[in-house]
Amino acid sequence: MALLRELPGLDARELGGGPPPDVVLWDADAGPPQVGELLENYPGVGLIVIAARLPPLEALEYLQRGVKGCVPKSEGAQALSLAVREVARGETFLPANLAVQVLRLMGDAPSTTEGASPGFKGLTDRERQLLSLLSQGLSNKAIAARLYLSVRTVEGRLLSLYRKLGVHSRTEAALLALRMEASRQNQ
Amino acid sequence: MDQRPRSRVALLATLSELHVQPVAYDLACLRRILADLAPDLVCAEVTREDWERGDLSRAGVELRGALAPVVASTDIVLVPVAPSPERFKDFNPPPGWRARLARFFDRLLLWGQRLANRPEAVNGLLFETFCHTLCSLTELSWSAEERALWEAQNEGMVQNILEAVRRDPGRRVLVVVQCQRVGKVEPLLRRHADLLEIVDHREL
Repeated sequence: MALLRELPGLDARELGGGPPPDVVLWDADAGPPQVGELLENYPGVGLIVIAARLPPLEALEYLQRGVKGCVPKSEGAQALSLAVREVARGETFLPANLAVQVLRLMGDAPSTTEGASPGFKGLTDRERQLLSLLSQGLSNKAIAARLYLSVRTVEGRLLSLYRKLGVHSRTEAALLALRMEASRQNQ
Repeated sequence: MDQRPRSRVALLATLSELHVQPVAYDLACLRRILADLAPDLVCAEVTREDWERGDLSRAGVELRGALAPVVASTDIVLVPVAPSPERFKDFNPPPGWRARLARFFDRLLLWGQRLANRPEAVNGLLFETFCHTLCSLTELSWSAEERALWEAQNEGMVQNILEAVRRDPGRRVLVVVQCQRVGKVEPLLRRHADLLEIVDHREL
């Protein structure tokens, strides 16, 4: 809590009375309440799970239950700050290395994104670069920092990219990119 | 006709290591200003190579102690715009009366620096005029070669700022540079009114 209070632009409080939060952080190592109870008591609020250990399969299970972010404690304060901001914006957040592992797990499961997207071939070099960064599990902020663009510009370009690919989320877009890459390697 | 929106650009002058004396500078104020302004982009005085390597040893104390930490934990994106790592203190007059004159100006600047130890004071008209006058006089004590290098570096920095603005037009951009550069960088940026509008940092 002390750590959160030091981060600029955030109003961090213990759960309890007061106005409903935008984001709830739950320390999985601290015991109850559990994820199900939190999701029921705070519907529509972005829930982020932090824990000392977060194996990819466990992170995937949390995401499938409706959790919006998973952050291993080893990632530190900056990752946590980014997670809170991204989840508050409605995005899902995973640190890059965990995101790649989760995406690969998801890629092994049947999905509605099976089959090449017709929009994929028509992507510009810039759009392919954006898609590549997305499939590496980078957050919008990390992508923006890599390309020296504002976060708002990256968000706008991603929306345009999703439309072109015929997908509805960064996860679907990243899965599509991973599948296209895998099929290119198999040829 | 170019329909791209103009970017709003503000310059924020910092003290950094004025000449050879590092001076205690209230970095908490600078962190607060940056977090409160929350620009889309902050153009900072560090080379792209150093920034991408994570090597801030050649960058000013304001970057290490204020800009980098705030940028890391917010949505602000830092754009490195220094064409090379040299700072004002790295340019020196030849030995003799010129060097003595430069040291005299140094002492005057140090005196002013101790009084203007917060971003608001550094960016005020009084210190800006004081610093600009003394820096111009100090530059006159340099060799023609050093003056040309300084000019080229400032022009290179402006080109990098303009590139950032062209790449992402219509955004709120804060340019944070050591106070010695402001008198050079601002007039060069003002020539590009088609691309950007210079505003006070409080109005960004």
